[in-house]
This record gives sequence, structure tokens and C-alpha cells, in this order.
Amino acid sequence: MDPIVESTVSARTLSSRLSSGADAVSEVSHWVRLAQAGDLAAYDRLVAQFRERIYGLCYHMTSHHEDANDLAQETFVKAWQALRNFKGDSGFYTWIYRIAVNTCLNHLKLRRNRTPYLSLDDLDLQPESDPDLVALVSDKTPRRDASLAELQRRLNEAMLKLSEDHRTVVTLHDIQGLPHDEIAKILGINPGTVRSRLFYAHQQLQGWLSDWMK
Amino acid sequence: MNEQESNERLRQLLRLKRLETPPPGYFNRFQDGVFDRIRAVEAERSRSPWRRWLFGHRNLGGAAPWLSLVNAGSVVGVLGVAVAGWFWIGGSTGEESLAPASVAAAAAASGGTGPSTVSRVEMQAPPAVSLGPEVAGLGLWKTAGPAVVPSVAPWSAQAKASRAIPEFASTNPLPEGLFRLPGSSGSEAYRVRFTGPAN
Repeated sequence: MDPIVESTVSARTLSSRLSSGADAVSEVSHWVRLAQAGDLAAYDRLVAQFRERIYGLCYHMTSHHEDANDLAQETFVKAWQALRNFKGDSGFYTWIYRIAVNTCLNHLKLRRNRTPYLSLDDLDLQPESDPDLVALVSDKTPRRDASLAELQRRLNEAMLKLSEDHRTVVTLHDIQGLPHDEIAKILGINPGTVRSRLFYAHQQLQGWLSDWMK
Repeated sequence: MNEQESNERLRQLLRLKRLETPPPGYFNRFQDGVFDRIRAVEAERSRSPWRRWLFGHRNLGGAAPWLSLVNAGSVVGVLGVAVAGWFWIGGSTGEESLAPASVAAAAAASGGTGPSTVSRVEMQAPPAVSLGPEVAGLGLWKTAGPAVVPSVAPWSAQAKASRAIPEFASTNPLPEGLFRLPGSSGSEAYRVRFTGPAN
């Protein structure tokens, strides 16, 4: 029997146990413990839980769908390989984010001398689901006829102009909504440095997006 | 617009990026991709270390072909250097030992103190050199010195024993199996492996 199919049985058993009121954090730690014992189905659950956020991090760091896909997959493979060494000193969430950030930063270092790229065509932009954003684009900008796609492109270009350190904190805080303390743990810096980087990154972005700030 | 309003507007703009999501169904394929890679990693672990080193790591995606190319290149390089070194050593040894156009192969007999059982030999030397019809053996190896037997270098001459010669019956002061040719320096000696009848 395929190991992943076999281990699905134990994962389902645990899933039914946990569905009776255990909170998300303890659920994750249960999956982690099972995965550390080699249970691929438990790891499958962990991947399913974090894949969108990890993909999002990689995408906003690179503005490139294919690269983000590759980097996010690589993050989960690295995490699987290193899972036995995970001591639980930090949360699994923090730990895997740290792997993802380092994977992205290594990738960007290798690509530093290449022309920045954007690959937005195959993404699914659905602004109508967010009324605030619809209002932002249709009413409050001086370029009311501008398409969302253009705004999206300008945003991504501005993000790529940021240094990697600044882009990381903007991605984690402004886009993914992580608090300063959590970002500090992920990046291994103090919260004051996170705030400082955010401040300078915001100043730069406001300058580059001045058309959209009025 | 004051600073607080600017910050708020920027946050609104950046929130727009949250809507940049891949098409529906993408994450199902993503999950498959992750576990395909993990299986590849597990398979990789079962390969022997030298195969991993030589053929690269298949689970590393784009980096693997380059890694294996580098490894394969280094293997070819090492082999090339080894082969070139072999030919260089063989060539230089041959030049030194073949330097005399004709060497009379009268040498002391093997066995240290007793007379040789091989009394006359004939050598078939490389075309450019004539060693005369006296020395015979399956091969000759020139040594750096008579006492350094294990470091003998191959010498390409082929020879065979034919008939007895008195010179081989003399006392050989060198270690067993080594002979010094007339005209060679004191640090050179030759090992002869006889193939013909020892009479």
C-alpha cells in the first residue's frame, strides 16, 4: 500500500478526534507530531493549512506566479526534510514562515542581476469581492478609468523596487497581516527594526504610488 | 492629505494585493506537486551516495542538471588528468631509458649471488631503438633506483628469452629481478620478466 494512503487512515482518525473542540493551534501541533513520525497524511494536512499563506508570501516577494509556485513547493519539501529537527521552540507557523522567507531571499539573491519580471496574467483578481477596494479604484483615484490590472501592475512594480528586507516586512505586515512581534520572530530581528523597516518602506511606496495616493 | 491618511490609503492599496490569488483548483495541483517532490526526496535517500554525487539530486528541481553536469565534468577532468599523467610518466620514462640508441643488454643476473638460470635473452625494442638481440623478457620496468623496487615505471619494450648469454651468469649486486644496463646511470636499473626457456 502506498505510504501516503496508509497514513491517511491514521490522519483521518486523529482528524475526527480533533474535530471535537480542540483549537487550531493544538490541532497543528498534533499534525506536526504525527508528521515528525513520518506520517505523510498528517503532513498533507499541514501543507493544506499553510499552502495559501506560503504561496502568497512567495508570490508577493517575487511577483511571479511560476517562481512562487516553485518556491512554495520547495519550502514544504525543505520543511518535511527538516521536520524531525523541529523542536517546537517557536510555533510551526513561525518556523515554516522562516523557511519560506529564507527560500525566497536566497532565490532573489540569485536573481538579483536579472531584469525584474511580472507574471500577473494567470492570477485570479477578484476586486468585486472587496467593496472597499472597488470604491478605492472607482471613486477615490484620479485615474478612474484606469483598470484594476494597471493598478495591480503599478503595485507590483513598486514592490519590486523595494529592497528585499523592506519588501519582506511589507509583505508580512501590510499584505499578510502579521503583527510586528510575529514578524520579528520570523526574521530573527527585534520588533523595533520591523517598525523602522516598515516606516521607510511606506515612505518609498507612497512616493512611487503618488498618483494613487491623492 | 496628512500622514495618517496617506498611510491608510497605502494600506488600502496594498490590501488589493491580497486579491491576487491563483485560479481555482490551483492548490490541489500544488499539493500534488509537493508530494511528488517529497517522494522524489525519499527515493533519493535510498540511492547510494556516489550515485547521488555523480548524477545530482533529482529533487532539487532546476538545480539538479547543473549539479550533475558539474559532478560529471569533475569526474571526466580527474580521469583526463590521470590518463594524461599516465602517458606523461610512461613517455618520459621511455625517453630516458631509450636515450642511448643502442644499449647492450648485459646485466647482472638475478638471484643476488648465484649464477642466473637464464643465460641468453633477446629483446624486441620499440622501433626507434635497438637494444640488440641479447635482452629478453615479457617487459622491462625502469626503476628510480635499484632499492626502490615498488616504484617501477612501465617501459614499453617487449622481449622474449632465446639463448644463454654469459653476462647473465655473472653475479648480480642488485635486488632480485633487477638489472643494470651498461651506459645507464648508477641510479637506474631495469626489471626484466623472462618468458622464454631458461637455458
